[in-house]
Amino acid sequence: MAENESLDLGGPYARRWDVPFDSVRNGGSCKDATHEVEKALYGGLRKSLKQWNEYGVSLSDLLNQRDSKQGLRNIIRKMQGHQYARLFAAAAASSGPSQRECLRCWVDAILDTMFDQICHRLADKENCPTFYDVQDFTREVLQALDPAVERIVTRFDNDPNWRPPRAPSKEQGQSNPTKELMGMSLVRVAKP
Amino acid sequence: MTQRFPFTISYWTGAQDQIVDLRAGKHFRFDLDAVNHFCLSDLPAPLVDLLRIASAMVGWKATRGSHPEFLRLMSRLASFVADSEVEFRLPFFSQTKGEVVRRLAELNLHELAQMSASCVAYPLRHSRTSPAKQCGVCPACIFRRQAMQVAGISESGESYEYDIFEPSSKSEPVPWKRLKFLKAFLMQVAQLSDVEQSDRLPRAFERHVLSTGILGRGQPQKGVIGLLARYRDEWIAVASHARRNGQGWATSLARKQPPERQEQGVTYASA
Repeated sequence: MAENESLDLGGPYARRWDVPFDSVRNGGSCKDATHEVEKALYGGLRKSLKQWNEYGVSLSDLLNQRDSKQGLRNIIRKMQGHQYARLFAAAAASSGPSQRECLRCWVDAILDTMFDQICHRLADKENCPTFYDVQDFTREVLQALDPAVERIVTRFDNDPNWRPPRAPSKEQGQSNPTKELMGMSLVRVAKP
Repeated sequence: MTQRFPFTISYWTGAQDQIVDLRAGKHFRFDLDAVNHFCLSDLPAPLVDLLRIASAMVGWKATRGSHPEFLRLMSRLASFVADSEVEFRLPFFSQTKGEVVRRLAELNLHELAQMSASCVAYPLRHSRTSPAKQCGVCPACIFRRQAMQVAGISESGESYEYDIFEPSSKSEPVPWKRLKFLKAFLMQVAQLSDVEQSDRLPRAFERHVLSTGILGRGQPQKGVIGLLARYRDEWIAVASHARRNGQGWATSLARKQPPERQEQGVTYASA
């Protein structure tokens, strides 16, 4: 079985995150960085869910066990400590009681893990900007990402079996989020 | 008999064969801190033997196990094994390391602090140098030196392989790659810049605190927020001192210092 998708920036199983990191490091705009992060997030989630599937676990299984620390621990053990699943467990323990809050907390945890490493690395040179500057920039990117995160969370909340598609291109990424949500039921029942 | 040691996971794992000897039908309470001594005179002999094992631990094996969640689980295990309530308490839970060390200074126990070692690899990986030195760049060394500075306890840079806080003119510059842990500390401090503006912790901190059982859901977070704000202020003062001494790393915390917070209540030892 392939090695688990990871969130260790610079590691062999988190290569997709090198692109947004390079974009930020090379002085890319907030818009560019946001697009690259969104792409990596979609890719990371898609790959992780596929790997979970290979272990015989789905997002529904984790959501069903979100109130049981031991239950989640058992599932994570089954997945050889998949990093995305461990973050899910941390999110489940700290989020509000609803499924949606748990999912939101999980996606936030993924982004925080990555942005922490990006900030840490950006200050890798003697002439680095201060941590406050880096933090301001990443905060801006996170804010710009918010609609995308909400879309992902809504999708998962409506249908935990949803697989994130390949991330939209820059042009598609600018599409109207309301339009994207129109195909979804507002009463949480997935349309055929 | 009085014995002082860090209570550790390795103590428990190292003592597994004998742990059944804890059955004494008595309520024990351990105060886990570096300042108060354990008074073992009232404990049954087998338990004293168990505790002695821990004093033989060196290096990283003796530095873990004081996390509240770990101690909560250990309390449960020990209570189960001992068939009576065993409770581990962290009396300095709501204090920063700097505040704990400052208490040592107030008790005129500077020398005791100076004699101790914190380095995660000391002396195992540093026995090539004679006498063995602490590395000065691992998280434990950085945390220790920050706390010592806050407490105003001076330390010789000679005790460290790399002296990143008070380097003398003769010291070799520390390679930037060796500063990765220091950077992580500073980044955390920057993330705490507005921590007291809300009743809730920043989300990454909140996630950690709740998921590791330090606080329960719905418990007020004010205490932890106050603790983190004081910790941040200590670091800001240490960094500003280092900046005045020309330390390059300290410039990464050079912005957003509310003037009223600077260096309040912090004294510095001379190098």
